[in-house]
Amino acid sequence: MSTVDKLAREQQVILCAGTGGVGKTTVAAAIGVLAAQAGRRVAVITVDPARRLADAIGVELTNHPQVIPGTWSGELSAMMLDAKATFDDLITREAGDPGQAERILSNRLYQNLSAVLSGTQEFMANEKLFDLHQSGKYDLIVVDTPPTRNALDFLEAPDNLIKFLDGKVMRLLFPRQVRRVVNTGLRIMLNQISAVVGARIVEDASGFLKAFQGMEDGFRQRAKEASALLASNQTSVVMVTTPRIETAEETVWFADQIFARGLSIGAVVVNRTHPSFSDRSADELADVWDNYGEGPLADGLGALVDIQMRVESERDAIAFLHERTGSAPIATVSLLTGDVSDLAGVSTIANLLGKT
Amino acid sequence: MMTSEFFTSCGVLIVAGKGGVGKTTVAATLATAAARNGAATLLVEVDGKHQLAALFECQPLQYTPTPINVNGSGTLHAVRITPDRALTDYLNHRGIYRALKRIQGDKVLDALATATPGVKDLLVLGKIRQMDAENEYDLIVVDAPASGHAISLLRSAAGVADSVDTGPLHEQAVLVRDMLSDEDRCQIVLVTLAEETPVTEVIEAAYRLEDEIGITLGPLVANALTADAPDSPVDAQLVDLAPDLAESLRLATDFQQNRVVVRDQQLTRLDTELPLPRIHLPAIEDTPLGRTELDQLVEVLESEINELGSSS
Repeated sequence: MSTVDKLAREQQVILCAGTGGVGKTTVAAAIGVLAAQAGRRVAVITVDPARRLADAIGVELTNHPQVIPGTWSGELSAMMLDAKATFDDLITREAGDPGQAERILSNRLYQNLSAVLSGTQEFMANEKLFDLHQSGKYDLIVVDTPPTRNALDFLEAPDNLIKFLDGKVMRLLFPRQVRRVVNTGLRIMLNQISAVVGARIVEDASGFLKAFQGMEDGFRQRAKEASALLASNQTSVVMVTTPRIETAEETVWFADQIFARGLSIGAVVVNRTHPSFSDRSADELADVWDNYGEGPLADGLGALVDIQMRVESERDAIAFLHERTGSAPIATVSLLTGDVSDLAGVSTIANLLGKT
Repeated sequence: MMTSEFFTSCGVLIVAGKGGVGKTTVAATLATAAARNGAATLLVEVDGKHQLAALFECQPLQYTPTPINVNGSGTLHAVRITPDRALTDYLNHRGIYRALKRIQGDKVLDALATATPGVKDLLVLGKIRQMDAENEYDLIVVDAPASGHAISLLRSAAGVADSVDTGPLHEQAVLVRDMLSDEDRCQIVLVTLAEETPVTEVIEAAYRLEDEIGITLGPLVANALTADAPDSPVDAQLVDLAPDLAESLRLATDFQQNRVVVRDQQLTRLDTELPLPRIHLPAIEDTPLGRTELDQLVEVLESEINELGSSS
């Protein structure tokens, strides 16, 4: 059994991480197919605003998992994260009473915050993962993590929320606290800030925090549990990368951050490797090519040399990845000539992943 | 169109595309070509992992423009403008950064700016607008963040203009919004690969950018195109080759031909679904990319721009 197949059969949570454009969404869907083929109930969460997974499986995705029909013995569901809807659900659930939920949901800062705040997507993906995990309806949840500038945004989302709730901003802007620490410095500061960003933003912020009052403990508790789930041995990180050296370097940089957090990497999926068409080295092939001047045969040999050179540089990149990701098992998926844009394509990738 | 004319037809070129399409490489290629053709050019990096420094084989870029040698009649400088730095700079300009910092108000402001969508993005664009207005450069090339984010970056101006009704930020937002919708001052160059999903996404992004931001679409760059495939060998040609080589040759040729079919299908799709002037850049097999590879791309780009002129 391949490493990825084993993870798909045994883990409860798989996080697919990597830089943009490496086929993370497709790999997440393929892992879902592998788990469903092994008879498990699996949900795939994609956060991609470009609806790539939706394109790939031909089902309109919403913020709740939809069952994808297929010939597997398990059950595969997929959903596309709607950060705002997830945030709204969370507020409604955690609020002390409907009035409090309403005050928060109608606050302008909250509306902006929940729709586009950088980090909200990470936090909400995390929240959704935790929510689905808690529901007990799924044996495995696969998350296609958001493409971020910081590899750890997703993993740190719960901790960041705890920090925010405990932090200085909260204390300073919280009206209850403000009354206690009335001082001119604070007033001057708020005035200056208002002068820069506009009084409305400051008003919105304090209104939001006021409405939020009393919900911190629930949020904090939930964030702690979510953080513990990510750190447990039921969760594995699968790094997705391509065999170009630049991408491999970024992947290693990502991996370092994951290690620094004390997590391990379950597998590295190297997507879109070139197939090799010869057992001879590129140098040997180039020597043959040299004997053929010009013409169709020379063109063909030239193409063969190019592909073989690429294959060799990819092998170097893969060796580098292996060495620098704590010797995590590596699975390669070879470049398909066609694009992966339907369920059959995803199943093909699943087959490749199940083998290497 | 003369190459030099192309590069001075507007002041700011924003290069955008989804992750992995080679947007940064294209931005660097455009900026280098512009400088070679006589323009005083500034290349702006707004986020990311110092990829431009790797391409130009220079030190990581700073907030102050660094000169980059391009062997041409123009000049090239490169600069890194991050949202955090843009905020600090903005406050400094208004003379309140130190006062705020003393009472630790900078942290609160930072949290508010982060929580208020668009403020930091707007300040990045505001800095670019200011540099454009100062007229020190003929052309500013911006390496925008990956696709989804480029839209939110560009939409920040309209968003802030609406949500902050008065004050310095509002003024800033209006100035930036005006720049973005003025085709003589600013255009966007979208970058894609000739593969199904990237093409689908670039078409979607293009229409959203026009409708939601009102920004003018410049030429589209189809990047990292697979090289033309050799003809299939006929058996008579293969008799001289060792049997393993003959088989390898057949497989490699088939593979390459299939890739070319995909490439051409997607270029045809672009012809009908996103009919913009188009620049074709080849896939570069040698990695990592550095100055040698950049030079190859600049040459191709120059001839592509010349062709744009002759066909239109």
